[in-house]
Amino acid sequence: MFHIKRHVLSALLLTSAFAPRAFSQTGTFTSMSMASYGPLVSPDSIVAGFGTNLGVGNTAGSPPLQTTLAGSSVLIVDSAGTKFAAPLYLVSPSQINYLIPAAAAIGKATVTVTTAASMSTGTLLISNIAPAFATASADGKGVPAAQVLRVTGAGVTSFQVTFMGTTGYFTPAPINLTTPGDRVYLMLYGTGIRRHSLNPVIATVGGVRVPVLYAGPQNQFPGLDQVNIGPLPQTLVGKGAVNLILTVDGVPANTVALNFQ
Amino acid sequence: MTQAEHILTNIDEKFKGRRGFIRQLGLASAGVGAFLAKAQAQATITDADIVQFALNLEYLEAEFYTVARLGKTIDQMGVAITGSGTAGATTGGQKVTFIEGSTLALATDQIGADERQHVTFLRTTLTSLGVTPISKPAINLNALGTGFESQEGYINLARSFEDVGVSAYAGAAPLIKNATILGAAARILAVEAYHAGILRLHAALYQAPTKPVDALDQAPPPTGTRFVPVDSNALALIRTPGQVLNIVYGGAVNATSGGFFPTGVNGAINGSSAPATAGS
Repeated sequence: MFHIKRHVLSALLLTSAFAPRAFSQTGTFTSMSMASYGPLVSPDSIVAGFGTNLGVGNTAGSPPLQTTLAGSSVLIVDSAGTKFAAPLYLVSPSQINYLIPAAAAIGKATVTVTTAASMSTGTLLISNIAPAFATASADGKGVPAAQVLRVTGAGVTSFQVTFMGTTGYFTPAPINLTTPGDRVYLMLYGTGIRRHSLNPVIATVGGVRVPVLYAGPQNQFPGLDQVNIGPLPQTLVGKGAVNLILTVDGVPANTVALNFQ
Repeated sequence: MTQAEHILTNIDEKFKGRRGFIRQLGLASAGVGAFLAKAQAQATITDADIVQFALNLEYLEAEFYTVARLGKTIDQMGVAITGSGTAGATTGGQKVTFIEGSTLALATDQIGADERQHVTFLRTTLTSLGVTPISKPAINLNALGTGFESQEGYINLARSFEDVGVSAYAGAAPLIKNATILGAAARILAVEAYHAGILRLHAALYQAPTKPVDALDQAPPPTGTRFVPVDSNALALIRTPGQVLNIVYGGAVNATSGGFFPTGVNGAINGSSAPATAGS
């Protein structure tokens, strides 16, 4: 398994520069997949929660994650009534990124954020599988926050990211499949994937089935999952903009965009 | 057999076998008349009565899926629900949050459409028999307090409905006399079994706990071990109409209402019995 570089992970997990969202009701806490912004999440996955007065300043955590960060904490009561103090990745006034413990029961849970000065509550829909890819724009749309691994015929490896541009204007970076002898792989990151059954994880790129070499924990950061696919087939040469669709136990991840020259 | 059932059976046999028995009774009181009417009704269950019974269950299933997926009731989707008997509103339930594009969501779209079509088909069948279809009775979708709060809650309740539906059609089949209706019932049973198979597999994939509805029930993984519920001959499980009504009435014995049908089902078959037992 390949490992993503730490600075890329920081961009994925510890930023609060997500697409702006308006939450007008004080005291409510709306949780969704950190990667896709979808409404369902899974145990052992990373969640982004939004509200107001959730914390003071921007404070990021790193493994081993703490359950109190800058005076803020998140309590999850799962569908079985079991209480969990959620490990925290990020606390800011309007957003908290947290980890759903692996032992959380499937079903509807309640979430309470407590700070020194306020309390916010919300619900959480926990499903066994909720596959989601992180994207460069950090809103679950567009180009994935992923890496391209190239292995030349001589065995030399190199990496590039799948996106280019700046915040708010990310576009898929062209992926070159034209060099003879090169084998090209994609390393994608997300959450909600690791609890899949032994059924095959299915990936299609531009409608072409691509082998899934690995789909599971990234192993450096709690809750972060990694999917390695490839080698990318030559039939994608010159396809331009195409979609990558990953299906895990019949549940699709958010569709992400790639570009092949 | 209880004493009352014994008496009822005895009267029923005499009613059917010896016309003179009526004269013996002298047709005296209204009470006896009503008693006999009940006995006669039980003795002469028709194919139409069975179809009407099935229509009650199809109303329930169709309402469940339509509310869970679309947030609407079947009459809001253009499905006819008027007819004989006591009409009632549907209460409870809400649109379930699915992961769009998932096999569960896509299958639910098809299952809901199937169940709405079953309602229409059974109503048409009854009309073709010269019988007015029953109206949709009052339905309380929140009878069990689950089914709409999450995908897993939905799987739990949907799985129950489909497995009970399969067993209900299988249990009623031997009572159907008309070959055409029997053939149609067999085809509906097959579709309900397809639905059940989909939902049972999703229970396993989603690790969704399921609650057995009675001792006969065989929960799928992760609660149970069987992907396919069968008897010792690998045949579909069967329940009598009374056992089915026991379930949808919320476990009530000898009842005519309760659970999902707070004012009861419509039609001649409306009384629950004791629940099905393991291996029955």
